[in-house]
Amino acid sequence: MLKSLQIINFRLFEHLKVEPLGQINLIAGMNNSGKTALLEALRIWASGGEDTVINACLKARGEFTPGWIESYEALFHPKTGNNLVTINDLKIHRKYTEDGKLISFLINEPDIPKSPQILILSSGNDGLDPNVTTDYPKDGCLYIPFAMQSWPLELLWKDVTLTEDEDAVIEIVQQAEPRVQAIDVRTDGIKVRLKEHPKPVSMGRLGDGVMQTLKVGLGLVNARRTAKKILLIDEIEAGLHHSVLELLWEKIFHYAMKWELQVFATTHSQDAIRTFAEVTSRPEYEPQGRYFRLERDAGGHVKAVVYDIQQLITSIEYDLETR
Amino acid sequence: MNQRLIVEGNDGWALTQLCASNGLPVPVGVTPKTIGQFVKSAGGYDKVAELIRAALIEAQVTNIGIVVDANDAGPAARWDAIKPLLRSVFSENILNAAVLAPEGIILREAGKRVVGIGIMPDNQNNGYLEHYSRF
Repeated sequence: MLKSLQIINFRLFEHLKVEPLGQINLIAGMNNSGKTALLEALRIWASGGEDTVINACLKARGEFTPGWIESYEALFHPKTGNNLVTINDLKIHRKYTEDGKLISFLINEPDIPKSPQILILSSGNDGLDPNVTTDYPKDGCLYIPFAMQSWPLELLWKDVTLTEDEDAVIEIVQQAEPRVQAIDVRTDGIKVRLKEHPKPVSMGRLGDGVMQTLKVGLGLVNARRTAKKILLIDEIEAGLHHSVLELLWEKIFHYAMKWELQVFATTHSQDAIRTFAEVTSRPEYEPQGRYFRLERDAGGHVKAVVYDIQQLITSIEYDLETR
Repeated sequence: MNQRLIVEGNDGWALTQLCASNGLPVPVGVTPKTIGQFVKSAGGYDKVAELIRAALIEAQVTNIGIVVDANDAGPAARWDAIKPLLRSVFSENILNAAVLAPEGIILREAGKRVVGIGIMPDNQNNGYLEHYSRF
């Protein structure tokens, strides 16, 4: 489990340090404070700097042009001029020829002290490859993006169906729609069997909130199978009523502890923060939850304001602005 | 609202009225209905420290006023109790240089939120907010 996170020169972060991290972490902040970039950094770190993952991250933001090495410039802070991105023990080096021509982006260059991650790199010493496909990123964690389109639900369902994990997913979906008895996820759509309904119904009919619980459920069970056992969720509140959010947090805490997962979720929602505080203040979950906010200081640098649980509970109790 | 007033007791509205009657402006738009957005009443001595700790990291706040009572312990003892809570925001130099004057304490440091502290009734004597009018 990651105890702390240090990001240097990556996107809008000049130097961000978040410490201590919890097992379940909730991250808030204004627009453009770096919430999604923080998840992205974790995703890239978890993959060990995989080209397929980095290319997919860039593509999701419309920053990726296949075959164009300059695509990777987007990973670097636009103003520092620093040629090294650091995400905990992962390093991305920007390399130029002597006459200043950009030639490559190397991961964990061999002349720096070696970390175990070097051994699992597929990019080797040739650097990041902008010709590598983004279709099947070799992730070391499970990332649930805010936008659905790029997320292959049917691939995640494939390993779940007819296993015990399927029961866990259905249990999680039932927090939003108790009538759900069974689910089938296919490329052409998602069908559910509802209690006392003779025929299957389309998942779309049940609304965004039910879909979100399915995404989180599939995320939890599939995160177990990733190298780093990390689940990243961008905007956890999508479509969920606050009463469902509380039930969902409870399941997230339950399964994260049971399966030793580390969870990072972002939010804009006061309901998500309040219900998170309620669940994590329960004695059995108290040491696991951690809330922090990304904000810009007077100099415009993004930093993390880390709350302890008592500060979070007090903030909710007195209706202080936490976001 | 980027200003915040922390009051130890439950007398936020009385306090803002007291400010108004002494020519101190309260933020525009503060009324008995909206007072809760501006003033946070801790509801007692036991709770004020936690409220201060949470308010010091509240989002989008630039100025915080803290009003507590000297009680029988006296204003110096109260200031000593509050000072450690402020270490998360201010440098040791700023805190050590702060002196409890008759007009209270205002802490300013570049890039940080401004924090003002008043210890009732008058930053000098024992007592509490309700004794203010005696001095």
